[in-house]
Amino acid sequence: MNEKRGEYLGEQLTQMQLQRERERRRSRQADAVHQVDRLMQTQQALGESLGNGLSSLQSKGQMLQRLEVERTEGSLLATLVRPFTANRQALARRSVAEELIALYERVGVRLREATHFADQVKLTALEMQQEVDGLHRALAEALHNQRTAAKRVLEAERALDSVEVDELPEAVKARRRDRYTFDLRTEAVNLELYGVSMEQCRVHLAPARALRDTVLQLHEDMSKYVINATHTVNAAGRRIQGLGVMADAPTVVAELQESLDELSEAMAATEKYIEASQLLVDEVLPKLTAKLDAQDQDEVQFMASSLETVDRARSHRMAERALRQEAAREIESLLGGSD
Amino acid sequence: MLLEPGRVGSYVRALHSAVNTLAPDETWVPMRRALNHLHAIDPAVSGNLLAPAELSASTGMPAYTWMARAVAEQELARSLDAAGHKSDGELERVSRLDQDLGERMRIRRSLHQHLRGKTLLASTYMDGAVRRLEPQTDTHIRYDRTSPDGRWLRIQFDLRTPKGRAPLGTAFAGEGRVQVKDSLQHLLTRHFSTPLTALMASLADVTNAQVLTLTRAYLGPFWFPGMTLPVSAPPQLGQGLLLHATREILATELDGAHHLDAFEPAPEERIPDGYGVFRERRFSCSQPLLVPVRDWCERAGFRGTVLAMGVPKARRL
Repeated sequence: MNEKRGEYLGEQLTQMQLQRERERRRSRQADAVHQVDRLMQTQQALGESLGNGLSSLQSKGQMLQRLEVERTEGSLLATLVRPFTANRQALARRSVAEELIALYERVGVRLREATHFADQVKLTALEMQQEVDGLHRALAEALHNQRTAAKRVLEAERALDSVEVDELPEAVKARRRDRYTFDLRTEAVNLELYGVSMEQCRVHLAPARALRDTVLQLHEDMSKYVINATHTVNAAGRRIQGLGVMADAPTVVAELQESLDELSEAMAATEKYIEASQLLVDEVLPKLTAKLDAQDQDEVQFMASSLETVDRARSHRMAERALRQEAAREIESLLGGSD
Repeated sequence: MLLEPGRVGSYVRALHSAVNTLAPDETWVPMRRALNHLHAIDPAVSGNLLAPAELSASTGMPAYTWMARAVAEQELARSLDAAGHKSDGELERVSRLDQDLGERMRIRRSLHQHLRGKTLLASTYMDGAVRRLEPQTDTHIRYDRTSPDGRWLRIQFDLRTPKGRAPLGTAFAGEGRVQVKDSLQHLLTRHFSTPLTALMASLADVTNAQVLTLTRAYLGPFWFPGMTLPVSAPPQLGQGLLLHATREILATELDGAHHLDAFEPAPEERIPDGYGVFRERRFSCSQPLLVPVRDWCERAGFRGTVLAMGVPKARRL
C-alpha cells in the first residue's frame, strides 16, 4: 500500500539518527561479545569443576576397590599380614564410603549449576536471534525506503527536465525549478542515507549471526554434556548409596566398578568438552572481536565518504542502480533463489 | 523404580499428607524438614526441575538420588542471591521468546525462594547435646539419615560417662553443645541396620560409655496402589495409601519386651540385663484402609495406632 504511494516506512532518517543507530548497534554488539566471553569463562570453569568432581569420585572408587582386592587376596603374605591391618583397612574403608557420598553431593551441586547455566545460555542465544531478526527487519525497511527514494529522485529529475520544455511563465518556471531542485537534493540525500543504513544492517548481520551461532554451539555442547554427566552421576549415586547397606559385599564393589567405567567415559567427554570451550575462548572470540573492530573502521569511512559527495550525477547513478538491484532481487526472489 | 510424570504430584502430596497425619515427634526425623523436602520435590513447586522421580522399589519411598537433587538445588539457591533471578517483567519477556524456558525460569525462581529459607532432610546428619553434667555426665547423640532403601532414619542414644568426661568420639564444645567426631558418624553409617542389642554393645565399646537409651526410628515404607507389597503383608493393603512409622527402643528405663508391630515378627535376641525393649509400628492410611489395617494389628494381638489421612491438596508458592 505504502509502496504504491511511494511512502517511506518508519521515521524519516537523518544522518544523526543513522549515526546514533550505528553506535547503538555497535554498543549492543560489544555487550554481546562481553556476555559471550563471560558465558564461555563460566562454562569452562563449570566444566573443570565438574571434571574434578568426577575425577575425585573415580579415584575414591578405585581406592575402595583396591581395599576390597587386598581384603580378599589369598597369598600367604596377605594371610599373615591381614590380622594386623584389618582394623586400619576397615577404618580407611569407612572414610572412603563417607567421602564418596560427600563427593557425590558436591558433584550434584555442580550439575545443578550447569543445568541453570545451560538455561542462561539458551536465553542469550534467543536474545541474539532476536537481534538478528531485528537487523533483518531493519534491512527490509531500509531496502524499501531506498527504492522509494530512488523512484523519487528519478521523478524529481523528470519534473526538473519538464520545466525547461514546458510553455510556462518564467516566474512559474523559476518557482517549480526551485521546488524540484529542492526535492531532488532532499531525495538524493535520503537515497544515500538509506543506502548507508542498508549497508550498516548488512555489516552487522554477519557478526550478529556469528555470535548467535557461537552461543548456540555453547548451549548445544553444555546441554549434551549435562545430560551425559547427569546420567553417569545418577548411576554412580545409586550404587554409592548402596554402599551404606552392604559396605563389605563384593557385589557392590563389582557394581561400583561399572559406575567407574561410566565415569571414565564421562571424564573423557569432560576433557574433550573443556578443550572445545578453551578453543572458543582462545580463538573464536578474539577473531570475532578483531573482525568487529575492523568492520567498525570501514563503516565509519564508508558513511563519511557516502555523505560528503552527494551530487546530481551521482544521485542519478545511485537511483538507477538501486532500482536495477531491486529488480534483480525481485527476479531472483521469483525464481526462488534468494532467502 | 521410576514414577510416571503424571503420578508424581499425587504421590508426593499423598506422602506429604501421610507424614502430616502421623505428626511424628522427635523420635523420628524432624517432621518440618521432611515436609519441606516433599514440598520441594512436588512438581507443583519444582515442575520437572528435579526429575526424574525415582522411588525405592522395596519401600515406595523417594530414592536418595531424587531427594539429593533437592539438596543440591538448595545449595545453588543459597549461592545465587534473590537478585540473581529475573523479575516478573523479565520473565514475561523470556516467555515471549520461549515459553518453556520462561516457565522453567519462573519455577526455578519460586523453588529457590522456598529452598533458601527452609531446612531439608540431610543424607547424613549428626549432632549432640549434654543432658546432665552431675553427678554423672549424660550425653544425647542424634544421627539422621536417608537410608539406602529410601526410608528416613533417626538413631538416638543417651550415653553416661563419669562426671565431666565426654564419651569417646565426641567432644564438649561449650554451652551444652557436643561435637561429634567423624569416626562415630562412620560407625553409624556402616552399622545403622545392625540388630539393636549388637548396635548398643558396639556403641558402648566405641564410646567407652554406658548406653542408657538407644532408639532407632524409621519413617517408611510407603505403600501405594501399583507397587509390589512384601509377601507377608495382606494384599488388600496395596489398594490404598499406607505410611509406616516404626521405632525400636532399648533402654534401662524399660522393663521386659513389648512388641506392637504387625508386620515384623519380634527378633530372637538376648536383652541385656537391666534393659527393656519396646517395638512399635504406627500407620497413617487412606480412609478405605483404616479398618483392614486395624484388623491386621488386632490379628497380631494388639490395638495399633492407625490414623486416617486428610485429602492431599496441591499447594503452589
